[in-house]
Amino acid sequence: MLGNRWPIILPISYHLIVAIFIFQSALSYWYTISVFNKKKFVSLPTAGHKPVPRATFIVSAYLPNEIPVVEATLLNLLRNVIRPANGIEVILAYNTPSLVPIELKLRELAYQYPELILANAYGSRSKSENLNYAIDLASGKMICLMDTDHLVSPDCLPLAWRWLDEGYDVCQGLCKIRNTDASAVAGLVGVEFEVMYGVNHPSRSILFDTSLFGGSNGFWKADVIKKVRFDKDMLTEDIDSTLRGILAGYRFVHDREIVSTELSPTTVGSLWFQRKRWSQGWFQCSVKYQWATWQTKYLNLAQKFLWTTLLMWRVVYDVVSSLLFPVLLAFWWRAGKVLLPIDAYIIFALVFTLFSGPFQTFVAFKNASRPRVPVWDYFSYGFFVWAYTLFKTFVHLVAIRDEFAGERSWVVSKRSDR
Amino acid sequence: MELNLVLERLRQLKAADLNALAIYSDLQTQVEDKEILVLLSRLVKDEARHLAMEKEIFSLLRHGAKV
Repeated sequence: MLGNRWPIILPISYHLIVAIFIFQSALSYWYTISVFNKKKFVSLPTAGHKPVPRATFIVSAYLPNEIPVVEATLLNLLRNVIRPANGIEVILAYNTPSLVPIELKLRELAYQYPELILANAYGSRSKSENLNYAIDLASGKMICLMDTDHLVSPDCLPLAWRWLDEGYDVCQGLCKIRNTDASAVAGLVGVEFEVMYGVNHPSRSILFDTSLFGGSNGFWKADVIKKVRFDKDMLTEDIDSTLRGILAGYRFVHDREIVSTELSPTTVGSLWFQRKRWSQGWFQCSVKYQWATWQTKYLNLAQKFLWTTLLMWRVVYDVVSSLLFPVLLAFWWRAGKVLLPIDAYIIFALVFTLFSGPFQTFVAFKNASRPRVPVWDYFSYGFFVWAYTLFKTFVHLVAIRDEFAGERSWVVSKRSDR
Repeated sequence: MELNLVLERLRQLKAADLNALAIYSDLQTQVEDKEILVLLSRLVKDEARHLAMEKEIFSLLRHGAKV
């Protein structure tokens, strides 16, 4: 294949690592194609056809950092969301090291809007603690979790309820970035979110009938979230609660018609810290729950396969794929020059892998709901996705290292209103 | 006054009273002056009483009391 001048270990390692790239790309193609399966919502016989119940929106905020955006988010909920017959309540669960002027403004808002409940989670030092505090206050039968920067569509409640009425326990909506023009990083993340929420999540939900709660724009049955709650020791409390929910037999679904827009990090630094926290959190969950997902009776074989690709496989892929570089270096060192050892298999892998990103980007563009990210951003993303993937793989490796080193700092993102 | 509005205002106040209770309770652990501690203790009891009374009002409203 590559000639017989190499020690046998080199071509074997090389081809095995490339096989991992092929498998990962094959998954990507599968999910991308599957999104064209337009699973229109048709009520199953199990649907109770009950009216939309009283709903609680919980907005979790760390006030000093999120002051610019919190008022807009609250007003969007209070003014625009279509109410069910029994009304809504909006609980702002926040913590702040000291009284800030916005608190006085929020009290005026609460006087103007009786549906707004200000819940200072005194003593809380984390989003999880804020959420748990608010969950105990909630009176709604459906609880909707929103981050401080999320502007959700007015029709979210009936759209989410039709899934919960049918027998699902949690419905995750689609999250879009609305500040894609703020910087090149925000534009990149905008397209990435279209791929993630517009292609990957819905196709997995369609193919495997399982999904996850992504941290915001998630709609829970109240009795379910009051049992599952959130763990303050986990960096990605959303994935952790998803897995505990799944292992308790609760069902998750993704609905891309429930749209909420949010703000992206605008600098490489802030993106780095956000993605490192996500990666470290996912790694924590992989270590904690992979075995349990294989054992549970609540997942079928296909669902176990999916969760394996999301948990253990993700870690294996990150670690093993990065070994490509030392293997190439070994070839160069052996040959005494820089070269790309290729054969038909490697050429196929190169084309297959490199094309998966642009293909997925194109499908995300075709599938995107309005407002769409500018076309130029899709072109840029499709062209540079291979580099962005390398960046994210590096972030994952650093996150794994940090987790082993016991470094779990949570750098709170500074929010601006654009 | 509409029942829903009464309930919503009560829920707002319940959250505020819970918050006040938490702050007063925390202050009790941080203050050493005896006179202030006595006053804080009374404030904690006041807030707890507010919460109990609000709970009673909720119960009455749920059982059909008119507003």
